[in-house]
Amino acid sequence: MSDCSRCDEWLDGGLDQAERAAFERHLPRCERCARKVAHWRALGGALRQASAPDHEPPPGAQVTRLLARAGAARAEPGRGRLRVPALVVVGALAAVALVLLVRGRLLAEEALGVTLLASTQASVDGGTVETGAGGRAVFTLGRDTVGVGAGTRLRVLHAGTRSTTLVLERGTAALRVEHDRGARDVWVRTPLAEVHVVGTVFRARVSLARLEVDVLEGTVEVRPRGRPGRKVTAASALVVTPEADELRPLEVAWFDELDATPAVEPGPEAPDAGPRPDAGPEAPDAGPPPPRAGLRGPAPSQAAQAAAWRGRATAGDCAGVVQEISRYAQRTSLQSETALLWGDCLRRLGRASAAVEAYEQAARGKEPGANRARLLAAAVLQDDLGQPARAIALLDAYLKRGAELPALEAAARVRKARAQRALGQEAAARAGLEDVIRRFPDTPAAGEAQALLRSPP
Amino acid sequence: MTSGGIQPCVPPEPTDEELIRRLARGDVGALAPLYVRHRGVVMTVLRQRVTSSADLEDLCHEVFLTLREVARRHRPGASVRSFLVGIAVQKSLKSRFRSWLQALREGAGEAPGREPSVAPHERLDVHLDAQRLLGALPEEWRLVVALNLIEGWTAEEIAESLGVRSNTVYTRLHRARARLRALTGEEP
Repeated sequence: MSDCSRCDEWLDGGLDQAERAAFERHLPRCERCARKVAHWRALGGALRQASAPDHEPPPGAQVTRLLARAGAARAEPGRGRLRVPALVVVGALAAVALVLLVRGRLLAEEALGVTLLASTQASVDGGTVETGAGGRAVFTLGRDTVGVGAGTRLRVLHAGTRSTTLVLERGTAALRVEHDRGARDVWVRTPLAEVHVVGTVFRARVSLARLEVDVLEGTVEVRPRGRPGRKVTAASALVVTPEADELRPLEVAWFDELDATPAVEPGPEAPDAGPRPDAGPEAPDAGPPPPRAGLRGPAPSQAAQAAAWRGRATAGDCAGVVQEISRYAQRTSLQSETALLWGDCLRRLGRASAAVEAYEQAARGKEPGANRARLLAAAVLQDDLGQPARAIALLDAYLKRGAELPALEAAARVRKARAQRALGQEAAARAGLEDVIRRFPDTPAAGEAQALLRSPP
Repeated sequence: MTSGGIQPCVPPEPTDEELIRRLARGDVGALAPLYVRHRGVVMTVLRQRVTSSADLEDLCHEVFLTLREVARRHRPGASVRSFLVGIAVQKSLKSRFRSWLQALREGAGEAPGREPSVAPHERLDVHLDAQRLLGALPEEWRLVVALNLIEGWTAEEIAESLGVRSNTVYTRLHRARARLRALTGEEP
């Protein structure tokens, strides 16, 4: 590796002592590296200067105020200081209250209505809230608050004092559910999973092949179809795909991005994912009217059109969507997400060869979903068309570019091993499966790999 | 304090670890030295993630008050500084959620937390427009860059406190550098 290529690692503090010394010998002799380092240091200097007041010792008044707040919070009566007899009394009272509560609730459940607080480009028809490409809406259901992002269709199937069921068909919804000590159940149904809520703040984002649940407060239980449920606690996010689900820390503030397109996005670290969000070219004028000034939303774009198609496909109109995308593709080049949706719909209609072509078209794009298209194409080739050799080539290309999630990488490697087995390459298949078990022990694919190793070729 | 005997003139500063153990036992006094030591990094996190209208100092206090409540959950041996960064990230998310909800309830058009963007052909100066340059980065990169540049943390330290893989941090820093060089008209 050339010394210039270590410049970033040196700046990040990622080199060991010997490597660091080698780079520091190189630095004075290389103008390019020196400029790069100077640029970074200049920015660091300017930022440190701007934030210097924060790093000065805080004034005594601030420290006193903090301690006063800490003391006041501690002095709140009863906070963490209940003695045993008090606990017994409280426990007995709670039991009586619970019995009364349950009896009352068994007798009758009060229905809750949708009260719209604010909306832009949204329609509310009975219990269904639907938003356009730049739209959003906020409504309450009893004491709970629901925010709905752009390109979303959310049905309130049932809302009562005992239980509430929402169906998120597409798009994004953020919920703040008041905690009622387990007296009430809130369910959000999505195509890939059901989300069970007790009392929390969370966001669910849905597309055909992906569900993201980001939890800000409390806990939700996500039950992917056909797989065991997962608990998602505060400051975590769960990504559910048909192949796997993965927990990761919640880093990004999603709630003020509810009006962004609910497109499928892989993790931001996918190797071929470029900088967000202003990189994408604007597509031709095919979408709905632009959002009103002040609201951030996508301009009329293919992405907005794709969101509408995705919703129709989720509702079952795959044939109509395929027809429209085919016509659209004659006028303009498809973005990866649109081509992916095209492939999904074609596959659902049983047109496997056409689906592979659509996925391969998606894979040629530069957008975030492009690499995933290779995995989907490989799945169709292997499962529907019985072409393991082509599937292996696509899986290799997918893995070479880097899977979005470790669970997806594991799934791809197991799939490759199955294709190798179909071609009689038993040794390579076994090596691949053992590799998955060793490197991805916590993924569902590891279980599948173990089962495959036990089964005869 | 004991009287008599030989006492050192300047008692040694208690370590973060000792202070957080005292805090976990209910000694609120341990909060002050932790606040003095780590307020800077907490403010760095909050500045990158909270709208300018929010009261940062107040939020910073909330971070330390939460530290007191969750001090028992701190793993012995783990960095208290990283623990605080985790709390600050969560606090900032919650604060922005509250602002967002409030703005929506009031029917405000502008969602809070937007950074001013950089026009396509605008060239920024690394010295004069440092904050704008940072603001032009995606949110996930911004905090990583701030911790690296302002706090001088290594990628490994940042990864530990944000709970992400170190490769993720390397990728973000690498891309942020390329982006910042483009924004300032430097060669890639």
